[in-house]
Amino acid sequence: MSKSPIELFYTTLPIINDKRQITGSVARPMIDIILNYKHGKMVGPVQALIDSGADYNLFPEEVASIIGVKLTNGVLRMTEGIGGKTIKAYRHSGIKMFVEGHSFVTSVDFSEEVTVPLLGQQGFFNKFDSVTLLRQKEKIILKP
Amino acid sequence: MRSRIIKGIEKYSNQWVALDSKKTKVIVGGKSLEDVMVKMLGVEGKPVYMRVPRLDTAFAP
Repeated sequence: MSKSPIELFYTTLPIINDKRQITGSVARPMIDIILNYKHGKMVGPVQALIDSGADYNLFPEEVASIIGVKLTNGVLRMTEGIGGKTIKAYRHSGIKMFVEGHSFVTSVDFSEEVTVPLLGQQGFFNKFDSVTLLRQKEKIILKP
Repeated sequence: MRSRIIKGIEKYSNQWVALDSKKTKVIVGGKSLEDVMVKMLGVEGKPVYMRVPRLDTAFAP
C-alpha cells in the first residue's frame, strides 16, 4: 500500500546588511526532522536543508553528541564542498530519521566543520520514491 | 502558502535558535544547540531548532 505524499513548505530567511537591517529574503527548502540513535535521546525537530547536490546527509557534530553518537567512532570520510574545500566527516549508520509521520533508518556524516544540517542523495533522497521541489509555490512534496 | 520571514531571526545570524512550533518567531537563541536546548527547559510548547546560516552572505553548501 503506497503512503500518502508529505507536503511541506520552504522556509524564508532574511538577507541582512552590515547594520543587521533586512534588505531582502530568500526561500530555502528546509524541513523539520527528528533524529534518534539506538533508542537513545531524540533531538528535534531540527530544520535541515534539502540539498540535491550533496551526496550524503551531513550534519554538525553537536547534533551527534546530543543523540549519543561519538563522532570519531564513525568511518572517516573526506567531503569536498564548494570552492574545492575538503572537510573531515565521520559516517555513522543506524540513525533513525523522522519526517512528519514517516521514519527510516539511515546514515549521517557528522563533522565539526559543518553548521547547517544537509539532507543529501544517499540517506535522504533515496529513502523516498520522489522528492519534488515546487519552487514557485515554495512547496516540497516527499513521496514515501 | 508562501512562508514569511521568521520574526526576529535577523538578530541570530550564524547562531542556533529555538522557534515556536509554527516557525513564526524566535523564542531563544544561542551559540550552540545544547545551549539553546538548555534555555528551552521549562518553556511551554514544542520548539523547532534551527541553525541560522550567515544572513549577510549567500549560502552555497
